[in-house]
Amino acid sequence: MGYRDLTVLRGVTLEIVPGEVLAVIGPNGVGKSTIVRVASGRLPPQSGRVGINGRALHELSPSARAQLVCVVPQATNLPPTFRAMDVVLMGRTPYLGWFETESQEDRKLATEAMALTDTLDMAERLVEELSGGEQQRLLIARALAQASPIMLLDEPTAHLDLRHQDRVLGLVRRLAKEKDLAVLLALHDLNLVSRYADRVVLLSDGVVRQVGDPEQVLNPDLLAEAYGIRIDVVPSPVDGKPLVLSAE
Amino acid sequence: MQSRLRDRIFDRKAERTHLQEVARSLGLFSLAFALLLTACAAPADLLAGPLQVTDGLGREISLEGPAVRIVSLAPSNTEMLFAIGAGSQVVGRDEASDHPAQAAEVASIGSTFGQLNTEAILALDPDLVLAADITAPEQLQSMEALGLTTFVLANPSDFEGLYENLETVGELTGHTVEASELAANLRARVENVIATMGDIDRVAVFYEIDGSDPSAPWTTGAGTFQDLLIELAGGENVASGIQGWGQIDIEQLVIQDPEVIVYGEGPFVVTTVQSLSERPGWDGIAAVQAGRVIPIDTNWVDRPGPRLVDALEAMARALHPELFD
Amino acid sequence: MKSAAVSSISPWIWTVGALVVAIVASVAIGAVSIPVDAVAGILLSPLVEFESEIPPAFSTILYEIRLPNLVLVALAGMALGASGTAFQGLFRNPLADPYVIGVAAGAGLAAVLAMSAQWPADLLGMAAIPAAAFVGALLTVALVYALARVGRSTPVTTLILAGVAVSSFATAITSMTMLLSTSELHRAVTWMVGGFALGGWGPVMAALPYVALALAVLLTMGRPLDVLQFGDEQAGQLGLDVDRVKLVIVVAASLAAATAVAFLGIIAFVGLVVPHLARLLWGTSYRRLLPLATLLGASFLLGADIVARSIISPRVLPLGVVTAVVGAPFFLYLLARSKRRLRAW
Repeated sequence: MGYRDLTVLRGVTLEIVPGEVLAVIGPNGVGKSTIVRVASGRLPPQSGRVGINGRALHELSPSARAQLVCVVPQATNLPPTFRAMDVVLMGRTPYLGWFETESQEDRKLATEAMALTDTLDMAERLVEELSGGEQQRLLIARALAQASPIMLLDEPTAHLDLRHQDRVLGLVRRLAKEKDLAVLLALHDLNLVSRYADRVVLLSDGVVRQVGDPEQVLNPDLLAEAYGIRIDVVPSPVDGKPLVLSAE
Repeated sequence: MQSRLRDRIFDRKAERTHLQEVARSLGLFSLAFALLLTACAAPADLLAGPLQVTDGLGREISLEGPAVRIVSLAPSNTEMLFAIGAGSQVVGRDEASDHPAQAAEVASIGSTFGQLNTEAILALDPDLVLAADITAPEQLQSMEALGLTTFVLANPSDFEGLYENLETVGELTGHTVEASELAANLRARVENVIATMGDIDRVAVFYEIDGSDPSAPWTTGAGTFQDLLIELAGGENVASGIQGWGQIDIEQLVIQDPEVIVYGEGPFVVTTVQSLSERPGWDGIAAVQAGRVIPIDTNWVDRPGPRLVDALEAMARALHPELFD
Repeated sequence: MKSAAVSSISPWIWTVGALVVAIVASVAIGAVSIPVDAVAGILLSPLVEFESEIPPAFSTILYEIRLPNLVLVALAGMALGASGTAFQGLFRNPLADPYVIGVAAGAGLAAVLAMSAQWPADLLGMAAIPAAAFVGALLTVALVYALARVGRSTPVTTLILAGVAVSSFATAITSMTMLLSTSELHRAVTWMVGGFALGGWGPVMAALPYVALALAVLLTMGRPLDVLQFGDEQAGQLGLDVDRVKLVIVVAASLAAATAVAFLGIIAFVGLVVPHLARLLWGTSYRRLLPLATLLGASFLLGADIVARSIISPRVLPLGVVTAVVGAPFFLYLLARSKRRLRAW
């Protein structure tokens, strides 16, 4: 899979299941974002297919696709003078014709999504008045309003501080369990992966190196080979989960 | 809406018919005098009956009688109207019509960048709108749609065309006698210039209409009235290779080496004899070296009216001063 | 924070109020001063019998010149307002306007070509120059769109680049054609700066179906335009058929602008200033902006038309000159006044 003249990933076979957070890790440029784009159906694979319950995703109409898969992008360049509520309402797009406007039902779903993401109190505020963490939660609310069984997240914590990183990923994990969502998470930060993912996929050189639970994949030798530096993994003094450290 | 408009047009026609009846009865009364005093051709004879005249677009234009409320849409038209004594019948004029001085007193109907104020024209209630080549066909059509009678006076391509235009304007306004007299007078002056020239040696002339770009000044080539003026005045247009208006390359001009340079002088023209002579590269041209750079009033030349003859005489004087001393 | 009720109603009061004022002023003001009671008398004459004598020319001026002109200018203003808003939303750029992708240049070229071929005012019963301009504008937009396509999508950058390139080319050919056919130069200049002020109801009837169709489509594109504000990638992930939406908006907005250009010449700045003003006053949601900018466009152009007809009366100033002279400084004022909001398209 990849772009017109460039094959970024080869022979990747992944399966995500409801209620599970699957994290994709790997060095820069390895194709984490490409996986998200292909899995969202925006980018058709050069060979093979992306299917949901047996249906090929990129052959569906955009709205049918969006009813099955929602994407949480990085919270950058959002239209600054949109009200927070309007941003979340955009999640209802796949259920509306071009000429339709949101119904009471759509507003109710958006309000619920905002309640779940703890953004309801900022509903009337403008995007430009919100912090990065608030904007990121707003995008998760928008994805929830989309009410699709699969949620893809591309580096949702890239611009967040420690506290907000935890809040956002904790929220994603809780939602996966409560709403039985299948979550695919592209993430740089291996220690966040260790804490929030159920399963991890390690990519390097365009192929899958390892799939398994965090303890299995966050292995010093595997990581050293993939990232090209010496790496130590120790149990975290907080919760005993693997803690990844550079040993250079 | 349409029927409403038609009613109104009929109203206007009815008014005029009434006027003509009055005039006609007066006319019968004075018929005896008229027989005695045949020279009494004086003011626009409202006695004349309906007219049918072919305009510059080949349209047959019908008038109930000579026009008495005329809107002129071009300076040349205005000049012709006043020259044949129909000035008092002009009720509206375009913004550029500034000659003769009395014309400026007539109400302007606008025309900036060619935009006409139809509302002002309509309010003047004209019985004839005298248009010209510069009037866009769309404007003619819309004025016709508003119930106005338009007549296009095409630009003449030679002096015969000018005389014909004068006769036409005379016919439209009831000044046929004055128009014929003026045409004969102008014809005599033109023929005098031609006779004076005989088969004199022709001088090479460059005619500049705009020198904003001294390296490629605008000139008038074959087919223009300027070209004709040069030829009749005993000259040879160095730009006759150009068709119509165009820019000539300064290198071409230096090679052609005209003996006389004539430039149009008037509004928007900043060229002077001095500035033209000081342009880089122009000092090599014979006309500049001999000091034979002569201005001519651009309005005489650009407006295809009676003053074209003034332009011809000025051109002849410029090219062959020796014949006029 | 303003009260939601007030902020959601007042823009409508403002825009509708401004339009009513503009319409009344437009009927009352002209080269010929018609007393207010005469105007009322003429307009009400089908209903009420009036004693007073009203000159018949007044009635012709009102019914055959002022009213059709008012409707045509209002239609063009609506078309340019909606079209400008749609293009700004599509390009997510407050400096975009319909002319960016070649509407004006294409219309100008076609009009000048038709004039140099000495087309008459009337061809097969249609106003020939507006018809040519209209077709030229649409063909140019189609060409620009085809050139800008990359695979299945149409990125904004290639669309603008193709628009600039094709416009420059068309403008160059236009200049050349005008220089080569000096006999039609005057007609061409007249058309370009403000159309022909045709008068009568013919042009109104010719323009109405296109403007109505384009506005009907554009006014329902508010929500898709809102979704597009998140960028093509997110809009697609949100379930919008991005390529088709863009195509529909480009076609409808070009149709609207092409109609305005065809009948009133190349009118600068309306498509730029009007949506911008509406956005500064009332925020960014295209669902609100589109109808507001449409109404505001009509008021703005009617106001410009009143100035054009009265400032140096009886001479008429070309409409395009007025909108540029009024629009450019106004645009700079808006820019200076609200730089914070400018970032927030």
